[in-house]
Amino acid sequence: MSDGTGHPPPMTFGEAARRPNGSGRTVWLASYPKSGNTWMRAIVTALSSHPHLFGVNHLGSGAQPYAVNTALTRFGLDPRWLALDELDLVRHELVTRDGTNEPLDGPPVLRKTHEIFRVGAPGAEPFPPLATRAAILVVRDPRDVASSYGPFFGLATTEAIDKMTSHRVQGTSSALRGMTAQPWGSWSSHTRSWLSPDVPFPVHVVRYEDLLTDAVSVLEPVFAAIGLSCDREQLADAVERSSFERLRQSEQQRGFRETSPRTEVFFRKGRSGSWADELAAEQVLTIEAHCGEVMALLGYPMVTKAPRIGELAAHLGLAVRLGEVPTALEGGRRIHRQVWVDETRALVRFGPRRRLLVEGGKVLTLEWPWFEGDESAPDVSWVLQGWGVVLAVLQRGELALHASTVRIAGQAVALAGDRGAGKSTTSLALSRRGHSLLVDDTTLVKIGPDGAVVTPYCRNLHILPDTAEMFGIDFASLVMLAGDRQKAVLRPEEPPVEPTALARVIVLEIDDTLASPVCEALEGLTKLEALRTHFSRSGLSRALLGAGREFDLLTQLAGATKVHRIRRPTRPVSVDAVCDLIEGVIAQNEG
Amino acid sequence: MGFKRNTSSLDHDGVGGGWLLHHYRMRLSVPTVTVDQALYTRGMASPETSIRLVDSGEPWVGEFRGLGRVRVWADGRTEVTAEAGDKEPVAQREAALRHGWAEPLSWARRGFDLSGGVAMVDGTRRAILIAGDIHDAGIVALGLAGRGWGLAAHRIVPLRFADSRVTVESHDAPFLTSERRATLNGRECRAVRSSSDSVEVLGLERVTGPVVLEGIAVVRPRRPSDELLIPRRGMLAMERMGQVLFGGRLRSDANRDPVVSMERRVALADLGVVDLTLDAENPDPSVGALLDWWARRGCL
Repeated sequence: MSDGTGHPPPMTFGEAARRPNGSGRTVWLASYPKSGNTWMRAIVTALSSHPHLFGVNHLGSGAQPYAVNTALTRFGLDPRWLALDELDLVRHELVTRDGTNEPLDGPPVLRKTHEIFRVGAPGAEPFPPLATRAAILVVRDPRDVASSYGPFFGLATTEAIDKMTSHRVQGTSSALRGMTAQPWGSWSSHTRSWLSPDVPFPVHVVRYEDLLTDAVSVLEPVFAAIGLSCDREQLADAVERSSFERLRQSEQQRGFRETSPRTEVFFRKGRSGSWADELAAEQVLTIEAHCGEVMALLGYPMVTKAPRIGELAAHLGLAVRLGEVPTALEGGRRIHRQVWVDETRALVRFGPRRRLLVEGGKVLTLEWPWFEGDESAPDVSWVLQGWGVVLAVLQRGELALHASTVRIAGQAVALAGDRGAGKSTTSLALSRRGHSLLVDDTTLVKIGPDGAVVTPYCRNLHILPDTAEMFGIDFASLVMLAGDRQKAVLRPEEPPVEPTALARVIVLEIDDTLASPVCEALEGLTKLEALRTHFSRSGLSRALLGAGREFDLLTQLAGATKVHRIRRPTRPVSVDAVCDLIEGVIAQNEG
Repeated sequence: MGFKRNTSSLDHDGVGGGWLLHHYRMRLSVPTVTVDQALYTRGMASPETSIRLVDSGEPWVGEFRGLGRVRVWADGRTEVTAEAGDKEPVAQREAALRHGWAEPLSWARRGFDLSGGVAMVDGTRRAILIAGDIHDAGIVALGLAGRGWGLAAHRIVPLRFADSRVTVESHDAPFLTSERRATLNGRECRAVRSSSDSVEVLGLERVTGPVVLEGIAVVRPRRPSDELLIPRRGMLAMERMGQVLFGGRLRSDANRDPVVSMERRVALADLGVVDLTLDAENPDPSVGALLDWWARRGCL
């Protein structure tokens, strides 16, 4: 089953687990917070503990890899004196040494982590492949996670949901605290990361709800696969000794040193489905709208029929809500056939009960009808990722170029062009050549003293059947674009978030008088006009920025970047030739 | 020798894709290792290892790839050699190696028992050890410094056990905290590295020479129903003292003997032990409770 990316989809349970074990001894006990990690650790600890010595304050495997203060006892090295990148090296060293102790086929070294999986720089990988045997990913219904997350961290439930549905980096590196960054991501991106094909070791997915039903049957094959030897009777005994009631009693008698200072009780309820009593309807709606795709992947049925809105990158600084949107803006003016604005707001009308409100460059409110019957929830992420982001950026007085952007040789190259010129197809082709796709269709550009920089963000591509065929993508497996009968949604890989210097704008045009693509550099007024055409956004820029500001940005952009035009015929298909020309332009300049 | 990386395409479940592999061969049922990997796991780290400490010869030699090298002799002498970096002065890197690596090893090699935390000294030259998370211990220490106490040792607190007394060996290693914490306490500070959140607090009153240790406060974050200060006796005090002395490379040879180790713990527990709970955003009540306890013990 494809998840709509066209790239290898996240591994499903069986596939991820069938990879051969890695050569190390570390088994990552991975989970999003409040998903059952402590319970799993209790079961594993109980397997090797004498009954009289087992208690909540004696749980093993709790040393998370981000904490590097053990360098003091391992090497005599105090991490507080290190630079932040040196902390990553220390982490890698500590994890590798622990995970490569002989015998390499000995019992696994289990280590807890709440972090998203990421590959990392060579020699500083957060999860060194050489030291790793496998991972166990414990997942839990995000609605129950939300119920538990708030009380543990001392947050209101709405705040908790906001954190869970936002892909933001949490826990930055701190030499003072002896810790590397520990990004959790959102609930969805966390799960996706561990099921990604980039993970080079097996990942055994365990659902919290299945543990409640029959932990022994769920864990027996998983423990066998990771080399944790025990028979069924031993495992049953360990599960019984680490039952929720026993753990809660132990906490009541002796306290639990791992709990948050913001809560009195760590072991609260220990059951599934309590969200139905604890969450308000809007909260359930919000969670399902954000997490629906991954919930479906994991087999969690949704109760609302909310459209799928996905997530917007946290670094864009935009809050997204579902709710009622006014039908008109009192005192507003119409600047486009679908768009009305006033001083601080922009209203986009797509149809009856299909509206988007963008306020102050910060808040997006979407009203969209729920789907009916057995119809699949429509993907309306395009509304937020396109219209929402563009209008918010213009409200902030910044630039949104109608272009797809890739990174070639460390520089951003924006591919502008009219609809059908091949921006998405060319950028997709370049990404298949190893260049990073920074964003499709909407390029956010900031111009400062050091020139123009692009802020990447993840935006779905919308492709036609012939584009899918060109790249070997199964079009039938993709989710159709809501409101469009021809295009489907292709979710790209997450781009890097750091801004990238914009070196080139390449304008793509169709010219059927040509037999093959040609490229020319643009200067002077021709350059200015080419840029103006592709950032006006059908007049939205001028209407929201004002003519003066728009001209100002345009001339700054023209001064900060080089512009080329590539004209190509529709037939023969020439995307490779266009990519060759683009790479050639960059290489020429590098040389 | 060393790990080589190659990029190759490997099909798992037919989905394709390319990913980086370390230079080792994997068989599905029995992983094999290369000579490089075997040497690495036997402690003869390849040149690509970031951190290496060789303690089998004289002097001990520590190497941190990209940062520099330390050498520590049995008599405690140290030598540091920093690699040049393009983002910060060599002097900063030398200081990092000296205070952050050479000195802890030097104390260990000289046979001291080492505790983590902060040793603060009152006006009568009696010391309290504030143990627990070093940053939290530092918050309490700054609170005491604001009330006229002096700093004897920070992070590495060298202890001597002799004649039924425990003494702290003071030293002048910089006191590190966050810039925010220094500012909140009205203290000037300076960065220790160009890319770090650690700053050195300036202007603290420093104590020199050995001082007698009279009590121990183990700091932890306060939960809603916690009391500020809870005296610990008997087994609970012993349990706390089990975490006060460093192990591993920083454990003294004497302390490796189980009987000596137990004697150390008893000696520390006998001094007087309290749990001190802390709200990092409002530390004054905790500092006040600690001073009250200290006064009731007749140590002021």
